[in-house]
Amino acid sequence: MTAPVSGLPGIDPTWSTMVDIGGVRMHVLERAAVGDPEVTILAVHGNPTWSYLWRNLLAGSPAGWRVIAVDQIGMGYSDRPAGVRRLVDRVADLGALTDALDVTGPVVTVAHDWGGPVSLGWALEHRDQLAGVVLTNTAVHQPAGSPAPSVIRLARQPLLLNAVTRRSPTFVRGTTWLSREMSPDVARAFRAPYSSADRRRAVGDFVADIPLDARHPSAATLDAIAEGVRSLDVPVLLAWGSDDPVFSDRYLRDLHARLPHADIHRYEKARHLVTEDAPACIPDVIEWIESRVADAIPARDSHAVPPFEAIGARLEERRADPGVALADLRSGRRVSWAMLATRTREIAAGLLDLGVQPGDRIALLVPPSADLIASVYAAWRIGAVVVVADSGLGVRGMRRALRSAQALHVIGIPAGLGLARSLDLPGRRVLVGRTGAATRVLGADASLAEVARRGREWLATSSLPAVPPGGADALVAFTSGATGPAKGVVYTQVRLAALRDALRAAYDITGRDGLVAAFAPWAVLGPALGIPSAIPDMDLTDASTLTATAIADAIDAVGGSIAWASPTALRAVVSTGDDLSDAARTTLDGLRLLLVAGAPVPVSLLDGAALLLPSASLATPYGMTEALPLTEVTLDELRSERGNGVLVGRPLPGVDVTIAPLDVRGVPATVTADHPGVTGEIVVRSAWMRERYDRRWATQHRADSPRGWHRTGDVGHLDEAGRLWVEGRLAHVIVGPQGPITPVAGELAAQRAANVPLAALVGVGPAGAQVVAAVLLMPGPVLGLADVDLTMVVREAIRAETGQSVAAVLTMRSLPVDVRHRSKVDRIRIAREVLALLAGEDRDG
Amino acid sequence: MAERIAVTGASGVVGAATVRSLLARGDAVVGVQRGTVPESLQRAGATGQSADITGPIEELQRAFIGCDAVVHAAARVDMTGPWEDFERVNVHGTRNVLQAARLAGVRTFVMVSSPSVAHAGHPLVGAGAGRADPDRARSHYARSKAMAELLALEADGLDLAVAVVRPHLVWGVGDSQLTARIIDRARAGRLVVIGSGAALIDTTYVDNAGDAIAAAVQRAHIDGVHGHPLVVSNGEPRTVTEMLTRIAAAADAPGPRAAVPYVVARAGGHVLERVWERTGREGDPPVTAFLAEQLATAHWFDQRETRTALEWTPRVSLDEGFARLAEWLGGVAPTS
Repeated sequence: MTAPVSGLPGIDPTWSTMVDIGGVRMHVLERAAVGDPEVTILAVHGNPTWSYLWRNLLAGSPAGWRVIAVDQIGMGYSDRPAGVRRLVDRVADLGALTDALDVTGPVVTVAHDWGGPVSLGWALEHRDQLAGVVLTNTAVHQPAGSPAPSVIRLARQPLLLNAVTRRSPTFVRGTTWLSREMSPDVARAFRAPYSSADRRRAVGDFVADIPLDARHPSAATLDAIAEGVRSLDVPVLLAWGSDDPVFSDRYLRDLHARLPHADIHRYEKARHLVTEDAPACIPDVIEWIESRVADAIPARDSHAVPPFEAIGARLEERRADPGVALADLRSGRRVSWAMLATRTREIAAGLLDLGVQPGDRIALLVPPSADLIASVYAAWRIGAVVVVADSGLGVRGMRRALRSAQALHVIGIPAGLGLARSLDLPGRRVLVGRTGAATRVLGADASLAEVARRGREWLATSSLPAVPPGGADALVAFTSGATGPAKGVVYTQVRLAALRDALRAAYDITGRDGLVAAFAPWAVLGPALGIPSAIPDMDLTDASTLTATAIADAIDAVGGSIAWASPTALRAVVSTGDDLSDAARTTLDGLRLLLVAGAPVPVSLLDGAALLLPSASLATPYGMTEALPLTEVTLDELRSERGNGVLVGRPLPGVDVTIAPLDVRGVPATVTADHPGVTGEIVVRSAWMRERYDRRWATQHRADSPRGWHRTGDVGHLDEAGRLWVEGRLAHVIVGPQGPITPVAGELAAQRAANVPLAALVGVGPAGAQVVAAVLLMPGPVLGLADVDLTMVVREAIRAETGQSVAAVLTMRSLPVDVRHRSKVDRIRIAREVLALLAGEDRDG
Repeated sequence: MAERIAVTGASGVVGAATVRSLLARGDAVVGVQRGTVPESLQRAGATGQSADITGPIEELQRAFIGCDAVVHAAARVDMTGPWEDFERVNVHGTRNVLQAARLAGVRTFVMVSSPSVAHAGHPLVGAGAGRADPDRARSHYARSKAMAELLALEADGLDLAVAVVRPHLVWGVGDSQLTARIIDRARAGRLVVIGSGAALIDTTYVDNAGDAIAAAVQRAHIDGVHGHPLVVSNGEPRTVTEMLTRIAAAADAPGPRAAVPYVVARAGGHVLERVWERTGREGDPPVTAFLAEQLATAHWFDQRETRTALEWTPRVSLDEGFARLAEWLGGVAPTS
């Protein structure tokens, strides 16, 4: 008999077969391998879905793989025998099936929801065959002290159980509602086998078979599986939807604790049915199996690390130094090296005393200050991992970032602890700032002052452990999220140390320097570099509040010789230069180096800065959250050179830059080339780049190509002199009939021709047939057409620079930019709006 | 090798451009039409044959005998008028021309069609040609051309290679239709845009349309050319506002003076069409619902397939076209 799967979207009806496993028939979707299977994929659905869940796995797997997706007994189109099917029965069913289908050779299990324990049960009984394990939003254990998923608890109420799971299609429907993205066709296909109460009986039995307490008949089986998985040594992938109301992050944490070697990819904004909500999920799973199982590529090994100077070494050296280590010009507070070093040691010890372990992740929700710096170095000293979700991500972005990084503990100001409380972080909470009633309300375990006091007592009898190994994780920072949700980026101890050394070497930093952190987070680098830092008097959440006078005061406070600013901060400084007193002007002359990073810096702004800071050399290193700094360029070069894109200069010593050329569809090649003039994705390598992306196996896998390099997601080219030019973001490349068009050169031409501060070049139409539209930042309507004269002027300017003839020129009152830097133009959003305008009216509109 | 090619509708803007392109290539051209072939084409070297595409087949067949190819460019293109007129000229006429070509032993047939045959009123953004769809066509003209195109494509076979070319919004020197109307209205200060005026539209400079059709004659037997429609345009979509402004500017006339809301224009168009139909007025009303749609909705096309299939690229860019138009007009009014 063939099950009625024909006509369901995404399914080849020839996949469908019934298999007799000792008197009961199991429905299976099977896609045979061409030749002997290299590997067999055994996919197990959960409740109340069916093998339909894996249709894209069958369709997308390489021809050499055999892919089998089962309908569990009582589910999908399998038989519905009398009696309750317990977990132990289901594991046995699966074994009987693989025997009946004569599955030999290596097997990778893939499972979702309550298919997880079933597939793991099979895995533990077939260790000789097991080659890999993929788990998506599932659980093997109810983490201690936490309730079962409320949806399940609700469905388990005896009266509700029958009503919800069986008598009405509520539970079956609800599961498809646990997805964000599902077309009505697909939702119907998921429900197809569960059309009547009788056909839904097992759905209720399945829910009833979830052991919520130790007396449950399946509790012992589940416990055995939960313990058994600790011994699995095959590659494991945990592919997880971040927004699952059933199997939330706590279950991911539990599985990761049992399978610490697992690769993780967490899909932002995907719910329970991660394979439906994240279109990349199944392709990623296939890619993972190909690389980790079929090709047996080992996971990155970061254990072999050369000897290096610990990140906090300079701070510890100066434990007796009464000189100023940090001057905070907002509060007027000065902190000496001795005080900072002592405080750091005390907090480190106090955190150990609170139970913080090496490798634990600590969210630091503290604005730049001495408390922040001491907490950071304390965490690093004991091998904890600092998670920095800056306010530039916005509140929602911060929440998302902290959840994705799975911070365990938090050190925060009251607002930060409030945020942490709403996220239900399971570890310790340390309050920075006033204590009192707030401590209890916020659920704080201690104030930072108390932690330090406990540390002091602890240090009286013990000494701090050895500094952590270089390969230990040290920092999770986040990308600005200009293209999609912010991604966590992991740095190890040795990579941070390499960053410190790179800054020292690139900018000749010695003990005589002082750092003015006009981009306040960089104040954290001062102690590592062994130089004092000053935070100027400004509103840290708004860089435009900085003034030239505030910079001069900060220089005075620490003998500042180096300033590090964002382009926005620099603009504010230059525009307030006229207010400087003569004395302050002289002070500014003491600055020998100005670093501007975070976004492209217009030459006019640098010219303004050069007038104000006559002795300073200006550095605008190219880089990103994943790797900074990468290049250097002189102001003279910036002034004189014009070409395709923005000149960012020569790679710094220790940085390799190469190009993955774009093909005619705008797709970067897998191989890289160094020929001058070839446009492609910029690929870099340095000792101080990120170790990896956090819990994003697939992102990491793709960025790490070639292995050990980093794909930046930027496009550009190298010139004859070996200098790098940035032409835009890969995601913003326009693909016209003649091939890819990068946006930056045309934007710069448009800005000059129309005398506007910002412009965006975007593609309109389907990739491969796109035409170009130029959008100018100009007063006027939210989005409108430029007049025909201006259109022709801008078109001619862009044509002269790039050879491209733009179809239309538009104006926008404000261009959408990223929150963190307020300068990276969101061309994708602009393109969407431009497309709508240039489409004109719809017949019904 | 030079061929002998019959062109119906040789005095129309696209037909005349095709004749010029064919002659320039060295082909012998027979203009087939009711009256006499215009003097300008005769001077350029075309001969003429008098025949009516809605008349007896034999007359057409005689005109086609000895020809290697027929280009069928004759059509009724008005915006209004009774359906029967469109059906007679565009549908029955095409059937006659196809049959006559076959009877005359012609091996190559190029049908001049229109992208409007596949335009259901929604924006077309970098679109492919799309299948002609009489049921969803937005005007009598578009429906009759869609039916004609389907007839032509059905006739494609081993004995007769049928290519269908759809030039989009042809304009330029010598065009008494679109170009002249825009200029007349601009000079009268009555040029308006409908809606935002921001819809991107593809247009075709007249000489490029002629070249593309000539290329289709030469390549009609190649797979990828015959048997399915190819949209032809300059491949330089521009906003409606820019096109109107620059055509008007070529005549030293002001561009669009005002914007009429889309719903108003479309509703007004409906009313005027009915008035014209009921009263049997001559000529076209100032706006029709179809025109309102055409002027307010994006329609531009992916030209990659066309250019590869025809091995053709536009010779005259839009900028060059505007310059030629300005030179031709020299400040003198053309009148439609």
